[in-house]
Amino acid sequence: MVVSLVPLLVIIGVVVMLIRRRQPREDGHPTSDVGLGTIRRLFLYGIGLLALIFSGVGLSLLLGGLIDSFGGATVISESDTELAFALAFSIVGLPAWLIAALLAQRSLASAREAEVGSEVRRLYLNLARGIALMVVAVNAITVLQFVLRISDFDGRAVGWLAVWLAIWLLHDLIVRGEHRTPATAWLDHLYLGFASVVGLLFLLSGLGAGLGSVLSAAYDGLFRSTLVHGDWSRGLREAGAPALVGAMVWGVHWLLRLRREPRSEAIWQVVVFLFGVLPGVAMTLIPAAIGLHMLLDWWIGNPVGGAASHFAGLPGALSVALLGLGVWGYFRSLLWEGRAEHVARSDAERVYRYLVTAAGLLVLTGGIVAGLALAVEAGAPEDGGLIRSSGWWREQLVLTLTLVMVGAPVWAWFWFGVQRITALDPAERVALPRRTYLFAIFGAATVTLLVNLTIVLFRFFDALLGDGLTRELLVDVRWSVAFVLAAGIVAGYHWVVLREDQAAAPAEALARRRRRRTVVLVVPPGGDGLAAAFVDLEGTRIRVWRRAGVAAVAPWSEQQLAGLRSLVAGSEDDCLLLVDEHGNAQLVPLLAGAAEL
Amino acid sequence: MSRSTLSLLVMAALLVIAVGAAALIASLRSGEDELPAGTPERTVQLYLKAVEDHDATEAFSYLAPSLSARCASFPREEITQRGSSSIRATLDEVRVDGDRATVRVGLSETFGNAPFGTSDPKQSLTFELQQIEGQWRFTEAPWPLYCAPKLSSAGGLGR
Repeated sequence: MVVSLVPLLVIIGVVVMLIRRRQPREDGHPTSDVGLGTIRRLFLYGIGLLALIFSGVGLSLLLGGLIDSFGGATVISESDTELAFALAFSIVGLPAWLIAALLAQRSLASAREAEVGSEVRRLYLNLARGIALMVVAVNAITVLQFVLRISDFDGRAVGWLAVWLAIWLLHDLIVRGEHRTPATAWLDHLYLGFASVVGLLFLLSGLGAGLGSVLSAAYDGLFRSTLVHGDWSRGLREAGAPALVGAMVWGVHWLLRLRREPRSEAIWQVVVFLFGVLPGVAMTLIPAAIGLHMLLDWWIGNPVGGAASHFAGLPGALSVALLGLGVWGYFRSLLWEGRAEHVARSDAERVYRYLVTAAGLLVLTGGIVAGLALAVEAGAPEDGGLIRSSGWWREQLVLTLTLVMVGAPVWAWFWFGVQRITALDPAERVALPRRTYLFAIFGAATVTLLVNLTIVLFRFFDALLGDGLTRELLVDVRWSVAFVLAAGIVAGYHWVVLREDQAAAPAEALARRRRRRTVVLVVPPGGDGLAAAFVDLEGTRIRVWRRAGVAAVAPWSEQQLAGLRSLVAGSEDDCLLLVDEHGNAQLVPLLAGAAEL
Repeated sequence: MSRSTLSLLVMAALLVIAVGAAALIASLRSGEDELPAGTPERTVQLYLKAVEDHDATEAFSYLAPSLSARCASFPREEITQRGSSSIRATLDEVRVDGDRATVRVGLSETFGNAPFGTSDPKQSLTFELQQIEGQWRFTEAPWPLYCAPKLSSAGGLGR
């Protein structure tokens, strides 16, 4: 279970890294060799993390074994291997971690700013928190299952929970006790994003399983003849454990922390759009499609058995749909609240809109293909060689109707929505997610068209040169014909859209997209807040240099920061020096290449 | 209170209401239907209850004599070692043709122990029975039993 979430972490990390590469970097330290130095820091914290894992495993096994020996099942055959394992890991890991921690503390005492602002140290702290969180969550579920009378007492789970909870608390206290710098904030956000997503996943898994279980039991009780009723509450109790753990993790990391971060933060946008709204949409629409298919199959198709057994999957689909609506509704209301802040549209939001648009288009196209193939087959006249059972067309008609009735509204809603946005903001035409979407759809449709056209022409010429054209040939190539027609429509339409975008894309937007501006801020101590004014200024890279030998200054007001931002945004120069002279800002244009980029 | 917090509370309230209502219905209607004795579905019901109780001896008593002999040498762990799983089975369809019957059942099983307490999605099972001396008995190895087909004396597969 833990391993299966690693890809999730990687996905979040990759998404954020890609977004960050297109955002200005905020480097609080012009060089990174102050304090321990980068290489030694990497070594120290790398060893420290490894030692932490070793000591955590060892202590967990020791404590778990001790608790199990008092409260666990009667042991009729004992193995010393686990004890030896625990002792080895503890004896190696604990002193190594303590030494690493002491060295880090010593460097912290002598060069606090450099260490606190170090990405390596922050990465260690957040990795430690992330790993500890996963271990705590999994073992908390096991412990809760005992509390809910699902499983027997497992002292080992209690041991793991206690040790890794202590590790998590320790590292969380350290992180919260150190101030966040612009260079390290993204690591904290990455951890909060990961934890929020994991918490939501656990919560929704538990709620979905529980709700599905109890709705199925109610459905069976009302509409079906029960042979063996089992323990219907067991499913609910089983689901309670992950739901409770998920609620706590999500509550602490999202509701109390990440939700309160600036909405312009990349992680905030990624979590809300790609791990909030998007799953909410999917969890609502997919079960709705399943329910619609059941209904159409009952009405038009060839259902087997009675209505009660035919619609037996409805409770499960309904439970997922209800949760999906809840998730979608919550994150939409969150976005609605933030409208007054006028946060610039983010790439995460664009990715979400175009992903759903693509999904809708694929479903709709699938429906069109199925419908066209059905039409071709139905249009092929009967002859002696073509045998069909009665009602052969029903299943495919049901599939066609389901795909079209689900795909068409989804595609139309989202596609024309982004077209409205594009009409209001021409710069959207050159946004990377839009261009990726258009080229991907056009490319896939073109390839599909070419491949299936080749198949059709091959079969046609093969028949023409051989046995001759038969009605059976038409039936055999019906799917390829359907793909050719559908892909042709899709490719043609998106080609027109691409041409429209290319004609309408303003040169200014294109130039702005390509523009990379560097701004060097020279600030007195405590003046890092000035960098916040330029965080989301498109195409701008920020470097912050701190002046030595001057007193700290009061922070700039919001109005002053807005004014400075406009000044920089309006400048035509690609390289600027902004000097904070105790409340007065001096903007000095530089020649390109004169500043380190 | 912010709009998003309100929507969260509303969703939680709706969830509690939905779960509460469904739980009430499930508890009021949780009894098993008493099927008529001497019917093939009654045999299936008794057999599944024996499986639920991990009683392999009782379960085997519902097999036809030839099937019981064939399965005698096969392990019974599929019934006796089911751990803490719980079965819920509903009757979907019964077809009787003379002295043979086919009973189709929807069955779901929940397991314990794993962190997420995995549940099998509902599966549709078909049981084949034959009336032997007035009793309906299984002629094909019923879920969850597996008994290899008997080899005929000529080396092929026999029924």
